[in-house]
This record gives sequence, structure tokens and C-alpha cells, in this order.
Amino acid sequence: MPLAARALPSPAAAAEEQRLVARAQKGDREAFNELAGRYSDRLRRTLYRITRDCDAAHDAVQEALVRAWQGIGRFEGRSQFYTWLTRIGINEAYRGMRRPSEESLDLDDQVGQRIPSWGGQPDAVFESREFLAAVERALSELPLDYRTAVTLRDIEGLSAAESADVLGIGERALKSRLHRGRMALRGKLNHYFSEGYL
Amino acid sequence: MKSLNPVSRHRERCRETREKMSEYLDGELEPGAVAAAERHVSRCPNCRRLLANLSRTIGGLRRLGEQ
Repeated sequence: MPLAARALPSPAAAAEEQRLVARAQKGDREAFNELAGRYSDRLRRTLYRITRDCDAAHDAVQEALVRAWQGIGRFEGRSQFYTWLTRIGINEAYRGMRRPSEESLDLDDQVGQRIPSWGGQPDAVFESREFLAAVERALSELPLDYRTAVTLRDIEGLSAAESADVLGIGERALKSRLHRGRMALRGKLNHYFSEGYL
Repeated sequence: MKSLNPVSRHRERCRETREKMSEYLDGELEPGAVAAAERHVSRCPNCRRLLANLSRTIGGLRRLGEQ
């Protein structure tokens, strides 16, 4: 039962974005501002989920936009503009934060233990605001490198390759962080899956 | 190689299947690995529940992204 992939931007939207990038690369500030306007709120939300600090996220977005404007001539278009901007934003957000490698999480793979089912709860429970708020809370408790991988892949909808590219790590390492992060989240949400023990 | 008793063999398959659950849900496993995972999950209620819970967790994350 693989989950459905996120929809990609339409070809027309992608072409329009390429035109804006090309204009910005020629020094057109208005075109760059148009790109920034499209993505700054989304980037701020992403960076808030990673930093858990509104001011830090805001500052990282501002700094990322400055650096993106200064460096847009070096943007080669191999990824989407937002992916490139996110990479810059995450680098800015990581400044002053503890390095991800300093954190770790011991995960119990629960082999041989009882795993709760969702106890026959209706699907609506998992669509509820309460459940989504619990997911958001659980995400905030993950170690930074897992939180970042899960945010990029599952919330932002980037592909594994794009997420790895943003973080400057290999796809294998990204998938490992992603899986461990998802499993840790699932463990933190166990009380939602609390009935029907084997 | 040391042979495993049935319980240890089952737990080893649980371990292997759980390591691949994310890739399975993302549709990134090779067909042979998909078949092996589905075979194990069909026989193991614990792994079946874990897979369902993981799928719902990922579903919640994706809905956060849609808000």
C-alpha cells in the first residue's frame, strides 16, 4: 500500500519560474522579489518546523533571501528554485544551532514487543485537528537531523533525491534519517494507536 | 552459518521488514523486496499493525504540509 506521491508543479508554472529566474540572473530585482514573494512564507514555515523558533526562522529567511540574490548567478537550474532556496535557508538556520550530528536518538525497533493497532478507530480520527496537532508536537521533539529529513520529505513533499541534495548528504543517509524519524514519530503517537493489542 | 530457530528467524524477518517499511510506503522498493515484505506482513500481525501505524503517521505529516 505505497503512499501516493505529491503532485509536481505544472509545466506552465515551471516555465514561468524559469523565466523569472533568468531575469533575476540578469539583475532584475523585481523578478527576484516575485520569486521571494512566492516562497518566503513557505520557507519560513519550513524553517520554523526545524528551528522551533519564530525569530530564528524569520532571520534565516531574510538572510537566505540576501544570499540567494547575491548568488543567483550561480544557480544552475538543476533543481527547482525553491529546493535551492531551502538549502540556503537550512544552512542559515543551522548557524547557531547545535550541529545535527551531536544529537542522537536510541530507537527501539520493538521486535518481539506488542505493537498497538489503531483499535478500529475511524479514519476521521486521523484527519482530526487533534491528531495533526499531536503529529506537529511529536515532530518538534525529534532530534534535529531526523526532524529536518521528515520535514523536507513528508511535509514539504520534496523527493528523496531533492531532500538529500538540500542537506548535502547522500540519498542512502537521507533515507535512513527519514525512516528513523518516522518510526520515532510513530512511537510518540502510540497513544493514538492504543487499543487492540495483540 | 549458525541456523536460527523459528522464533529467531521470525524476529529477524520482522527486523528486516521494519527497516524497509519507509521505502515500501514510498514505493521505492524493488519488486522482489516488495513481495518479501508483503509476504511477511501478511503473516505477522505485529508488523502489519506497525506498517499501518507508520502509514497513518506519514499521512498526518503530509496533511500538515497541505495546511
